This record gives sequence, C-alpha cells and structure tokens, in this order.
Amino acid sequence: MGIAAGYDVGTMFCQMAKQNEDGSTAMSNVRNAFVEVPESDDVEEILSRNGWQWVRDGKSVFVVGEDSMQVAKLFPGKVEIRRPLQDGVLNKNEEKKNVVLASIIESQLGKASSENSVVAICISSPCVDGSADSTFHSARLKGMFMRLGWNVKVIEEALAVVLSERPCVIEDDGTEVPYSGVGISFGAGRANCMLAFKGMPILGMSVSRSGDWIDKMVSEQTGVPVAQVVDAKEKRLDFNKIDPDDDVVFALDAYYDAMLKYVFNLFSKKFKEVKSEFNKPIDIVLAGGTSMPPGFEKKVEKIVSELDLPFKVNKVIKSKDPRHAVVKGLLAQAEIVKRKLEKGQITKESI
Amino acid sequence: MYTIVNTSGRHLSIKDLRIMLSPRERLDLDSVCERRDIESSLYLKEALKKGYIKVIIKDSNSSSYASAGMIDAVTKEDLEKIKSDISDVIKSSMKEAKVAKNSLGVDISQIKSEIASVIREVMGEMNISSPSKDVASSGFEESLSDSVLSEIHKKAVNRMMEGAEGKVKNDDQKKVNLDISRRADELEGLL
Repeated sequence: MGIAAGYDVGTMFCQMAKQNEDGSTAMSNVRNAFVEVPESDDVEEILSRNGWQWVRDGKSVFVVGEDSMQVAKLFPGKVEIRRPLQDGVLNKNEEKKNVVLASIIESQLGKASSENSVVAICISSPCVDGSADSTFHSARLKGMFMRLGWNVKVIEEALAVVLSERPCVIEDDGTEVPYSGVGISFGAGRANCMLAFKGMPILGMSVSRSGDWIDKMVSEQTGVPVAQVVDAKEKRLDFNKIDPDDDVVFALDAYYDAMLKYVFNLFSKKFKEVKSEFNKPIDIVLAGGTSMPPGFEKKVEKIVSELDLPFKVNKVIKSKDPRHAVVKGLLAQAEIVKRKLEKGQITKESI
Repeated sequence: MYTIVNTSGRHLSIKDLRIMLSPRERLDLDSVCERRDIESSLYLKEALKKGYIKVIIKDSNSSSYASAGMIDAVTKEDLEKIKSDISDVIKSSMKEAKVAKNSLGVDISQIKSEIASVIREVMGEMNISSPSKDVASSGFEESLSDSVLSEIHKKAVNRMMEGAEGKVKNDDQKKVNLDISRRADELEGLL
C-alpha cells in the first residue's frame, strides 16, 4: 500500500509531512542552507566530533541545515551561508544547489515505500512582477523526487494554503461552500496568492517581495546585520505593540507595510484584469513564516479594506500554524491523488 | 533502415540525436546514428507521439550507420570547405560593394540585396537551409510533455548525485495527528 507525503521546498526551510502506518503524521523541518567547510585532512573528524549534518560532493564538503548557521556563527566573515533557492526558485547562481537539495530531500523524505506512494510538492504561481519563471524549477524538483521512486503531484503553493485552511463561502441558506476563497502564503522569497472555488484553482499569482526583502531593507536602513534583523523579527516583533524606540522593530513595521501594499496592489490589479467575481463575500486566509508576527492579519485587513477588489472580503484569517500550513495542504493533496491511483481512477502518467 | 519524415511543416530539431530536419525532409536515422541511440531518444519519442514525425521505413537492420556514414555523410572537411566557400563569396562581394560605394556612389542597399541573393544562391546550390528561418526547436522544447521533461531532469539529478554522499539528520521528526483522511474525504467529493 502506498503512502502519502507533502514536501515544501521553501527558500528558507524544507518541510516534510508524511503519513505513518498508524495513521499519525510525521513532520520535520530542515533549514535549506549550507556552508562549505575548508578542505583539510581532519574534516571527517571535525564533522563527526560536532555531530554536524553534511554532504560531500567529490572533494568538497558542506555542512547543511541548521548546523550551517552554527558554523557561520563560529567563523563570522570566513564562511558564507549559501542557499539552494533564491526568490522561491532554484538559485541560478549556486552551482551546488542540486547536490545539496537532493541530499536533504533524500534524507528527510526517503525513498518511496511502494509504487503507489505519492508526494505532493508546490511551486510558485506565475509571477506578476517580472520575477523568475518556475518551469525549470518545477521540472528539476520533480526529478529530485522521482529518482526516489515517488509519484509526484505539483500544485501551486497558495492552493495548498486553501486545502489546509479550508476557507468557506456561506450561501444565503446558510450552506457552506468549503475550500472557496483566497489563500496567501508569505514565504521568505515570494508571496503567493490563489483564488479557489471548491478546492479548484481559479487564479494564482506570485510576487518576489516577501520576508527576505523586508530583512534586507531593514538591515540596509538600520545598519544591523540581517541575522539580527531576523532574530528581532522572530522574537520581538508584535504589530499590536510597536516600540518606536526600537529601531529594528520600528523599521520592520514600516517595511512590512511597504511589502503588503506592494503585494496587494499587484494582486488587486490582476484580480481586476481577469474579472474574477464571487456573489458572496469570501475569506482571505494567510500563512507562511513571514505572516507569523502577532497582529499581521490586522495589518492585512487594513490594507485590503482600502483596495478596490472585484469581490467582497468577509474575513482575513491567519492560519493557526502558519509555518506548516502549506505542507499540511500538500499532504491532503497527496492523499487524494494516492487514493485515486489505488482505485485506478487515474494513472501514474496522468498525475 | 529507419527512415523518418518531418510532417510538422516547420524546421524540427531532435536535440539528443543532434539532427535538424526541414519541412517534409526525409532521413534514414540509421545512416547518422546508432540504432540504440535512436531507440532511446526522448525527443524522437515525443515528436512521434505528437505526430511531428512519421516513420516511413523501419527494419531491424541497424548496421548501416558505419557504411552509410562513410559513403553518404558529409564529412567535417566538406563542411569546412562549404563554410570557407561561403565566407569567400561574402568577403569578395563586400569588398566590391565597398569599392563601388567609394568610387561610384552606388546605392549600398542595392549591393546588400545583391550580396544576400548571392548567399541565397550559394546556399541553395549546396542545399543548406538558412539559419534565420523559423526553427521549431524552441517551440518543440516547450511542447515536450511534463513527463518527458521530468524524466530528463531525473536522469540529470542522478548523474549529479554520482559520487555524492551525505549525512543529514532526520531525528527531529514530530508525530502529530492531522486527520488528513477526513480532509481528503471531503476534498475527494469536491474535486
């Protein structure tokens, strides 16, 4: 019997959700980053002594995942943190991205246990601000999972948010129309948006301005290193109580505003272009690591209220587990495909 | 023999066999490739599937490659000679044009068009298609099915992973109850 899994290859993290035989779900995160360890005779000993995660490609050795951050802190300025992904797609300037990413995927997800095992992965929707195309990214990622024996279903990232968060439209007679509304995933590299009806994608789009852009801008404006900006964002930022004396937090608040205005103006323009209409007010559900600071949904609500959209917005709701919403939605998608495959309703070629 | 014909109406490239076919051009693949390469060509399979190419003759004899290659195929030296001939014609025509322009004040656009016609004539005689014509290769690549593309990428990643090894921990897994089955039941009814 096949198993279902969801895998989100994000700019910042690789996240996995896989069904166990007992019906429970195994979830894990690996930071999608690495550093190169200078070549030396005792490199094996250093890696083993520290218990670091590593990948070797020929003579080059890389420390990967969270351990790469530790190495970078130990040798500030001497080793550079490298990323397999940039702006939501494979980093074209990183020659070791394939080896490192394929190794992370193989270790985290493993080989498919049977021929009907299905993994659902996601890619960004078409970009509306001229950023990179996802065609190569999608095919290459698919290849990385296929080599492990998985049947691969690829969906757009924000659709996974809809499948996980289950936004509903309420009809006049009180009937719920589930999986209908707008899902938005604010990741590190991109913000992805999807308008869906009954789980069917209607309009997907993305922009290449999200968490990384905020970190970079705040760092440039305050002179504080990006790592410390990220730390402040994760630990001190609360939009309900902004401390104007805290430069970094104050700048984060301002650049979150700038990012949201940019993103929603582009989304709104696209919605109007395609004239997507809903008779009833719809919910907007938010997810992704960049949406985590408390009060984020209120900020979005304020910006959305000022927009001229072709549909009315009922509520803006933040996921209860914003960081894992995408991978949970992917797991649901994989389970559906797996069932159809087992029932013979679809073939492997038609996935 | 393994003879195919390009029925797409456009120039067509079969990249992994390094072949380009003009519209309606016929080619015995056995004369330019090994049969095993032909049989494993993903681009050829896809072109056949899409109906861009039709097989006219296919037999089990795959030995004609070497002999046909020796008798019929254009050698590297031939290509170099053709290249050099074309280059000479262009150079001499340009020289003449320059002299004409300086001394006689002849219209340069007329000379350009004459040069172009000489090039076309030479290329026509040598049966070489113009590189500026609409080549369908990029469109063809875009039309590659998702499964073929993914298969190509799968092989590429496998090649890159040869000689690579790693130890990435996977011991921070959390066990949670997500009730995916109920979610999938509901979605299955909708999708």
